Order: sequence, then C-alpha cells, then structure tokens
Amino acid sequence: MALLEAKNISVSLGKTRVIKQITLSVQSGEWLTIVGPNGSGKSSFLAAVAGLQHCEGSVTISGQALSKITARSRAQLVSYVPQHPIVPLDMLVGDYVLLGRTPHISALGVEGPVDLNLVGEILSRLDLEELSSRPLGSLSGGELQRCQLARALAQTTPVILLDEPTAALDLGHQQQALDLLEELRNERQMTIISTMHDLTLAGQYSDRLMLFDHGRVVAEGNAADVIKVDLLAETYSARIQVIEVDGTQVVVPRSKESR
Amino acid sequence: MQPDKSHTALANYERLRLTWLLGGVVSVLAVAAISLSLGPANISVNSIIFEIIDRFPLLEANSNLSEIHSNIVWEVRLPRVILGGLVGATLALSGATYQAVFRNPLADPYLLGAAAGAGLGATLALVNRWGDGSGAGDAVPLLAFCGALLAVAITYFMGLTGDSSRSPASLLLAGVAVASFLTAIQTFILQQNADTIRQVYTWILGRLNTASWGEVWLLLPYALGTSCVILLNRRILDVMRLGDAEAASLGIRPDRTRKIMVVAASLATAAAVAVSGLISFVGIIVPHTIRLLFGSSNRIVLPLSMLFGASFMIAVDLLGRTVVSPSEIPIGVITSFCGAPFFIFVLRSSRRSI
Repeated sequence: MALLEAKNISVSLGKTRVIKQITLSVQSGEWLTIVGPNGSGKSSFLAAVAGLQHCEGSVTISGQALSKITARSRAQLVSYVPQHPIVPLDMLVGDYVLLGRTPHISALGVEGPVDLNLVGEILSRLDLEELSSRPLGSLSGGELQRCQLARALAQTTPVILLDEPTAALDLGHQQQALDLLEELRNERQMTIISTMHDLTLAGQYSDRLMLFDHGRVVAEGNAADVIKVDLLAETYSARIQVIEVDGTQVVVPRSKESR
Repeated sequence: MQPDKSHTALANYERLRLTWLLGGVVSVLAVAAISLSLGPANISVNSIIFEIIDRFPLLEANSNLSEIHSNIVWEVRLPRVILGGLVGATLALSGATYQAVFRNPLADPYLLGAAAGAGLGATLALVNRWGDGSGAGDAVPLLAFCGALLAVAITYFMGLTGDSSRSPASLLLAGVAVASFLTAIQTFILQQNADTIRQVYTWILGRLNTASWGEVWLLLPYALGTSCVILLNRRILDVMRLGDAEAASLGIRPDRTRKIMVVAASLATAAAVAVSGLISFVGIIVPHTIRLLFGSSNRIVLPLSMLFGASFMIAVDLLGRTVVSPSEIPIGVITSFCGAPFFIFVLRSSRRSI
C-alpha cells in the first residue's frame, strides 16, 4: 500500500481554481518531484498536502486521513519547509532546530533529554553543531537552508515536503543540499515530495517526476518520460533542447537566433 | 563515552538560562529588601528580614522592631513593595506577550485600547464622585478594570475582517481607532467637569502611594493566573515567531494561541491598571532590554521580563518616594524619566537586534 495517497485534490484561491482534481500516491522511501512553470499550482498542492491550504479531496498518510486527525497528529506525519520560510534573524540555530520537536512535546511542556539528544544528532549530522549558538541572521544561504532542513528532520515524520529546497542556492550548494537529502532519504527511509525549478537536477535526484500545468498533471514518470523537448517546450513556452549526458537528461535553453 | 559536542552546547545554553532566571529572582529580593528599609523611618535590612521570618508559622526570629516600625513595615511598605512588584511584573509580561503574538516590537500592554478604556472608566468614576481613587474598595479601580476590558473586547470584535479571520494588523489598527474614540469621550467628559482634572491627571500618571493589602489581593489572582497561562505557553510563542503557516505545520493552532494570549495579557493589564493607574513604558522597555541583553527566545524573555519588571518597578517607586521626600514624584514620570535613558544606553551599546 502506498504511504501517502492524495485523492481528487482541488484548491481554490479566491474564485480561481489553481489545482484541479489531482490524484497521486507515493511509496515509502520514494522521492517525487513536482515540476512545472510558475503559477502551475506546485506550491499550492504541497501546502494542501501539508494540511495548510484548504482543499477538496482527501490526503491519507499511513492510512490516516489528515482531515480527521488533530493538527498535532498531522505534524507527526508530515513536515513542510516552505519556499520562503520566515526566519527570526536573532533566533539561535539550536533553538530553531529544537522547534521541530514541537509536535512531539505536550502542549505546555518543554524539550526533554530525548529531544535534546535527537536534535544534537541532527545538528552534528548536518554539520551544524559548531553553529548551534549562533543567530540565524549570521548564517550564509547554504547554512540557513541546512538549518531549515534540520528543523524539518527534527520533526521525525515519515513524509517531508520541500517547496523549492534549492531555490536560493548556487550550483555547488544545490548539489550539496540534494546529495544530503539523498543520503538522509536512504538512511532514514524518508519519503520526499519536493517542487523544483531546475529540471535537470529534478530528474537526476528524484525517482519520479510530475509535470504540472494550470493545476493539472500533464505528464508523470521517470526523467526520460517527462523531460522531453516537445512536452517541456509547450508547457513552459520556452526554447529548449534536451541532450543526454552520462545517461542524464539535461535541459539546455536555446538562444533566440537558434530557432 | 565522550559526550557529543553539540549536546553539551545545547545543555550549557539551558544551564545559562537558569542562571539568568536565578539572577532575576535575586534582583527582585535585593531591591525589595532595600526598598523596605528606606524611607522617613530608617529600618535596617536585617531587622526587616527577621521581622518577616518571624511571621512565618513555626519560625521565630527577634527583629527588635518597635510596634510603630513593625506597622510601617507591614501596613505601609510591604504592600507597596509587593504591589509595585506585581504591577511591574504584570505590565512587563503583558507587553512581552503582545510583542510576541503580534510580532511587533512597538506593541505595549495598552495597544488594544486598555489604557484609553481604563482612563475613561476612571474618569467616569471620578467626575460622578463614585470614588476618589483612594483604595481597593473604591469604584475607580472597578470602573477602570471594566473600561480596559471593554475597550479590548471592542477592539477585538472591530478587528474582525469580512471572512472572519483576524489578521494581526487589522487588530492593531482597530486598537488605534478604539483608543482614539474612547480618549475623545474621556476628554469631552473632563472638559465638562474641569474641577476633577487634577484627580484624573494624577490617576493617569499612575501611583502606588495608596497601596494597601486590599489592592494586593485584588491584583494577585489575576497576576498569578494570567502569568501561569502565558508562561506555560512560552515555547509555543517561540513557534509562533516562525509565522502562522509554519506554526500550523508544526501542529500549533496560531489563531487559538493568539486569542488565549490576548485575553490573558489584557486581563492582566486591566487588573494592573485598575490598582495603579496608567504606568507607561514598563511594558515596552523591560522586555526589549531583556531581548537586547539575553536574546529573544520567549522562554527567557517572558520569565525575565516578569522578574526584572518587578524589580524595575520597585526600584522606580523607591526613587519616586525618596528623592523629593516627603512629597512624591508620580511613578509614571519616573518610569519614563529613568527608563528612557537607560533603554537608549542599552539600545546603543548592545550588538543584538530587536
């Protein structure tokens, strides 16, 4: 049985329907990446799956319908890193990551030794232990991104949703972040659903891609099924070519003159 | 086994916080002891400590105080010190709470119209001669309390937007509108009753000189109840700093938390205002000084604001009643007069941001 099942998800923002009847299922340990042009509904879909966006349809994780359980129980099943998280600049790294333990701490309680140890391990796993007493405002983009991931990991959920996890990073840091995610996924049997703009990286790291356009799924499958020149050129209204390098589909923009 | 470095870094940090909290408790006790001993009748700190110990059941200590001095300690100075501490703790904690839930550094306990409502209530009581503001059994604190709560309630319902979700900004703007509306009514009533201007003005500047055990008992249940609610939520208030969406993804219900915190902080403010008038600045200056010195985690800002709010108010009241003795400087004047330069000093010398 699939770990996560989303059935007939529709999302309306005001009077506009931004997600139209999307159904998907994700297996345990799978990495699914949603790609698509700006405004295609990727982030809205992710927020709906996270339970943060009102939607029609149903989402179940491990057989539990998210609409029928408390916010706290939901937060024990699925963690979410938004595209532009609010970062309190003066909050210390250690404190920030500890907030990830919130769904596991009683409403009015504080962290116990178990939480502190777990966060300690995550900080050291993500090379953040030296930074644990530094304010978030003093970190570089790559360090900050690792902190956000660390906070989501501290939630210890079977499913993790990442909205554009590499958007603010340069090429080297993008690879480092995605390598880290891949390692963590294998270590912890995590299920990842992410959105990504970089189609080449999305194809390299994910098990499966889903191409959204105007709130619908227009293609689904592995990189070879989705990263096709005609499909992408039409969906993105872009001049591109797709070449294969070392078995990887690489999307290359073409200049105006090459038409 | 060698402990992991990161574990000890976190644990050390927790221990440091405990040290600061202990420091806060010591500061309250020290300022209270000094304040109890100073005044027109000089009484030594030792005698006061023995006198207090003597009153505990099963404990005995001889303070050698005369009956008059003993009365001064028990009926004049102690209720005043305790009331000052409670008012300072309550206002500072309410201010810190408002700042946390609205994510707005300029928020103070009077933000949602509590001051204007209390001012109107007190003015009504004074011009109608229902009381003269001299004690706990008077109509002035009662009407000030009701006025403050009513104003916050009006603000809260005015802050409702069409789709029934309250955005923090619309609530703040409603607070500004309600405060200015109520102040207009108060000013009009005052103008029609010019003979009570001095009494109302004295009340507005805040005072502790009429402090009695009655007022202490009036404020204590509110101060204790609301501060327990707020302090128990200190961790959740840290989660709220991540914004509503992320707080919700961590299993918190941001709207509900905001509602509970606003009700608790407003009740505490109304009770403090009712017994002491409008003491300004404490609710802003104390939490921000704590943030600048000790960092911005609500787990440390909320309890330390309470402790240092209490010691700040006791110290300021001590100055107010001793500097130009036998007359007194209104406490609201001193909080701003001493607080503002100190705050500017901390603001300029601290490398932390608010």
